[in-house]
Amino acid sequence: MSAAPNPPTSAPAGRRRLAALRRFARSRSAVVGAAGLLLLVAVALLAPLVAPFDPAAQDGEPLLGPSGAHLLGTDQLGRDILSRLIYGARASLIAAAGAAAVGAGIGVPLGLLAGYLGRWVDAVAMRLVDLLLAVPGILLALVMIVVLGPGRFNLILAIGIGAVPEFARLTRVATLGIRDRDFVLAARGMGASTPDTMLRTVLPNVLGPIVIQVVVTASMAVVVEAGLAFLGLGTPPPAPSWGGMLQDARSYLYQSPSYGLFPGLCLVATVFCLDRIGRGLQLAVSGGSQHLGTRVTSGGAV
Amino acid sequence: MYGHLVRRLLQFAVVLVLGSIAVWAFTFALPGDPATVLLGSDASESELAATRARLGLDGSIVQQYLSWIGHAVGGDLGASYYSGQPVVRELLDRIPATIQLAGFAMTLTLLIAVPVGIVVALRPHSVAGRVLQGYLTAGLAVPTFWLGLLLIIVLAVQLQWLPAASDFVPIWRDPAGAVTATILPAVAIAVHTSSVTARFLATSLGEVMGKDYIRTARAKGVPERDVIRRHALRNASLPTVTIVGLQLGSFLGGTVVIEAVFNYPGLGRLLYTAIGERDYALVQGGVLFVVATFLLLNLLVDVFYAVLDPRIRLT
Amino acid sequence: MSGGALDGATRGGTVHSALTPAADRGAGQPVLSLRDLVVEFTTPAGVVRAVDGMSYDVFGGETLSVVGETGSGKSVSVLAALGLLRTPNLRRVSGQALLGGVDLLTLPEVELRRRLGRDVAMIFQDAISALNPVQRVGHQIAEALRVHDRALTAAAARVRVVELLDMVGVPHADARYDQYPHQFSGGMCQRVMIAMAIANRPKVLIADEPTTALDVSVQAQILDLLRVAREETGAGVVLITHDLGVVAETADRVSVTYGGRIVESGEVTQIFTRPRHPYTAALLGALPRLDTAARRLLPIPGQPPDPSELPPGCAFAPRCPISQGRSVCTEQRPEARPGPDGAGVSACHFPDEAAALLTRADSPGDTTASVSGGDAAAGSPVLDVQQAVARFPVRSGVLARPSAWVHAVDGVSLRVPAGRTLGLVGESGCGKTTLARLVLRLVEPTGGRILVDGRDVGAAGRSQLRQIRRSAQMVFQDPYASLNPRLSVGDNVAEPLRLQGLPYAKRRSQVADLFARVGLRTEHADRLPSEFSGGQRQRVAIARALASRPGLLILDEPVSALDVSVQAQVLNLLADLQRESAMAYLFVSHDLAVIRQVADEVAVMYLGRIVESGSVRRVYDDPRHPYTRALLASVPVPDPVGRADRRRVPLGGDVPSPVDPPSGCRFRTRCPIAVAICAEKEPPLRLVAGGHTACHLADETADLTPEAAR
Repeated sequence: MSAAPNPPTSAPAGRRRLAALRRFARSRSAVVGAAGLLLLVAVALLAPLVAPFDPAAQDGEPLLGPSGAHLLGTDQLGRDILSRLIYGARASLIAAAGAAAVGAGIGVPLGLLAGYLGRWVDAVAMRLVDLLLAVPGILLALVMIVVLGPGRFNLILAIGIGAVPEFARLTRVATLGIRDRDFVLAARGMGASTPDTMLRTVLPNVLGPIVIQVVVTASMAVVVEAGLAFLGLGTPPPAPSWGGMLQDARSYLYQSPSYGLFPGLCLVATVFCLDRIGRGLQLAVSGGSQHLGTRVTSGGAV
Repeated sequence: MYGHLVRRLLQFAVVLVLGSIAVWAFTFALPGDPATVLLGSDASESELAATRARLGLDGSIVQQYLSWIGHAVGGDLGASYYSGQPVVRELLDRIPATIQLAGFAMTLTLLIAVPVGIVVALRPHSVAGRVLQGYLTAGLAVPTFWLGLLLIIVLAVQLQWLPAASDFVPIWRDPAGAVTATILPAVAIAVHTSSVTARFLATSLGEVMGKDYIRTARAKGVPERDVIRRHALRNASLPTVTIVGLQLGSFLGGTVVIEAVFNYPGLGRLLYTAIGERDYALVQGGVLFVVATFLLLNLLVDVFYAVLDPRIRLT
Repeated sequence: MSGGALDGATRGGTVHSALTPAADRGAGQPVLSLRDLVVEFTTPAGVVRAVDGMSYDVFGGETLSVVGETGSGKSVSVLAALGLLRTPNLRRVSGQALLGGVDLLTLPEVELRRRLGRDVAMIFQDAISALNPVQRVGHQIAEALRVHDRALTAAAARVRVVELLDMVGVPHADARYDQYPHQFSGGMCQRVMIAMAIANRPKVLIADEPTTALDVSVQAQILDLLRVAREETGAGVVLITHDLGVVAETADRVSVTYGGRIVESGEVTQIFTRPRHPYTAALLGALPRLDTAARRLLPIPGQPPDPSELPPGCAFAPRCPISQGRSVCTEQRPEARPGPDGAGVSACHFPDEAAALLTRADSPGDTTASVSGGDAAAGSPVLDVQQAVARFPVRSGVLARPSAWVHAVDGVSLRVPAGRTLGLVGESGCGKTTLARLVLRLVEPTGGRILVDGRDVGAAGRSQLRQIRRSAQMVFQDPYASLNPRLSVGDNVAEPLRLQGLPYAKRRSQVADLFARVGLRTEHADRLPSEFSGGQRQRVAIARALASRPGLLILDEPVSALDVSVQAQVLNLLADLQRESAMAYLFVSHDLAVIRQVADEVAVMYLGRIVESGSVRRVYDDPRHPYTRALLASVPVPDPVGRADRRRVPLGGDVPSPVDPPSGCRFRTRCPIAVAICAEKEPPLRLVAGGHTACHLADETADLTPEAAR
């Protein structure tokens, strides 16, 4: 018997659905992360209302330090850094959401098919995954952007493809873990077809780790997008992006050291929020049993 | 064991061939054909045809691939469009620098990750545990290249202790100089990767500590320190080995941005420059090299895994 | 296993143990005493009191059996006492755990560890996972020695470990010293655990469900080995188990746990013949018996108490047949009091009324066997299996080509008519589960024919197979794994109906009917499976199987994951359902007593073949196959009276690998009466004494050892 008995809970049906949410909410830092991300999304959506200046307007002295007029100073063209940061959040969030969608959209079906059907489907899918894994994420994105050409959509595709292997691997492992469980056999024994079994019985039971991976991928995408922008291959100018601002800042390290500080802090805050959400989800999915759950992708040393 | 390794070897070969095909096919996906890219848009037809013949682009698809891969296996990846140097030569020039940085970064990663992972797993509620958990959270959240920038701003620009740009100083010639030149990018990388590895180690150690065989060891009367040392760590290190292997692989070609930040003359920088200059022969050769190295490294991890885990070795 | 050493020791042990029922107990102090042990956990549902003031004593040289159902606190109490409970949600451990007069609970960890493994040793349930997978088996035992004797050299430790391995019956001990746990069978791992536990000749040996994961023939070996271990070391043994048969065979004294407390303690014969607590009596009534003909079981109504809200009075009161709402039972918690003769201790307000429950249990209730009459045999069988074969490739080598085949099911024929139950019994790995899955083609057949209602399962096309899977339904062993955890129990039950394309409203009303039939409350249909106990979940699984109105139910170990009291409820439910709708049952189980309870016909499987089949009476009362005889002799009988006279000759060794089964008769390698012909010719299943037996010597076996068949 188990050392820690799990008593039958007798919560009514309505409240039960909230149990996972409550477990998530019990982790204070997860709530902080969720709140931070919500705030960021709101700021990005309401950028025209929130930003004090037009992000493209070159109406200040160049490379000013923080002051009353320009809270965070101005860049080399005299544009307001705070306003550019606020608009830049859009680029990061779009890249994050898009890359996670692409990664999950390709990776999850691939992993599900590979894990459930096995045999040659598995072999083919896994070699494909091995191949994608063999190219470090940032290099893959670089090459893909060269092939596909620049642009916001291609950028998302390039980052998202890099996230496919992890989604596929994860889904496959989870699928393998439950493929031969009795309730899957039971579904087949009831006469359910293979697609029906995969979609209705297997998929909902492997969603937990996938949801967490979505968050992990989003935070990876934020960093990779910034890295690409830093190399000059990210969100095309003049649209502001945090990575692009860091690239500019690097050229003016001696004149304006504070410039390089703020876009980086935005990146840190975003990744931090996503990481906290990921940990909270982990607790919610694992039923709070694990004191230190974790999943990490090596975003690579970009 | 041999069955397992031979199977892995075979998979390695399959993926390597797939990879080479993908890398080779990459030039076809580019806008315009290589000859036009090479000669510019105002080259004459005959010039183009001659160049195509020279590049082996006039046969059938299969012929073209076979001739290319044949040369590649023989160490001939063509010549850089830009410098005219053999691609292999260009790559070989950068490999020592890349290996040195990777070695530094991996050493730092392990030196930080192992103790931090253990403390965080076993004493999560102690003061040290909380502080180190904070380090892990921060290490994961701070983008490597921004940390690199910060290090430059503080240590190179403000304090002027270390150079802002890192040249490659071979360690076998000037150990002290090599450390000074490589330490900043290595630290910038290792802060992130050590957090990843430590968190991973902490998780698997936490899981292992709940296993039945740990309870058995305690019931035998083994002191807690030895329970951890002799029973928990070896089992917990198994999944961590995989992560470390992946990281090492990414160090060998994926440190593009950090090399750009520090102007470090590694492979990543070479490839990035080649992409900027549309030097596709160099890109092709470089990516092939990175992929092959990564796959080989993974193969080594598998061997190591089998050594560590008798369940794999003996079945 | 072929170790003659063990066999000798075992037989010796059998004789001695029967003669020394706690003989020298009165003399000294108890070697281990628990005093008012309380263990609490913090859970989302509140504070859970898993152990609620538990006290017991163990004396040197005796076996105390702590018996109880899941969650009764029997394992948690010892783990807490030895400081081995390490879950972060452990809230408090209070009371005393006295080991030779020293309270373990107050010792600093270093001091405690010095005693663990030296003065008190543990044997755990799941031996394979209790051993470190990456450390050599011998080293793990040697560690137990060297950690308490720093002066012991590695070489000397090795010599001692090889001795120990030899003693516990591990063959080729010296070679196996260097092997890893995954190279050992479950039974062998348990032997290693025992060697580890007795290495330092501890004063107390605690065995926590030591045989639960093992087959019955291996279980008999391990129980005998435990007896030997006790005699070797003179230790007091605490045997924690849920199996009343094991208790009756091995214990000198018994403590029965319920709701985290000891509700009754006493000498083993007194507990089984004159119980002084209604729970003990009710448990005995709920137990299917190997030795008596089928009668209706008397389940204990309701569910075990929720440890997060224990009732203020007696924890058993809500389920108690003699409480009957008496206010003293629901309001005042009964203290443990010794009986008039000073022997047994019972925590019941009315201890003298309990024994009467046993006689009630013995009075014949309505029998199930007579209901399904002989008329069914006339009709064509619902399930007709003809020479079914299932082989799985063992892939190895570079290209993962099949290099060998596992002959999981190798030419099996069965017939089950409507309204009847065929019990399929065998040890793990014999192919019985594969056979059950073949019927629904959840496993692809390699050969033979399987007809369900006359339709060929193997040849069926996609839509026909769907038809067949509607008329034959399966109930799985583990109710925790067989329900989709993401669907509510109502939706789980409605799945077969959804697949038939029934509209939502119709599904709802049918689910309500099904819930009523299996005794579940309709208003619980919206809850998730995780909110139900094992027995309730198995009811849900049965309701789901009934949804498509099948003519055949395949029951794959449907009660083996359940506690005795709940098991009886489910078995009775299955009997009632069969009577109502004349379904045919294929009932697969490793539990011979359960099969005897439910089946009309029995088939015994060994290594992919049926070795004996026939009516229940024929197979149980006049078994002709030596394997059947050995199985029946291995099952612990829940009756301590006369256990000294019972001949227990456990089968040696483990089941051979089905990849490369022995030539001729597959059982010959373990058979006590095998002769030359057995290795050469495979015996066919032939008519012997009104049943079928596949043994060359079937005609002679009847008079060989008649008493082994009891």
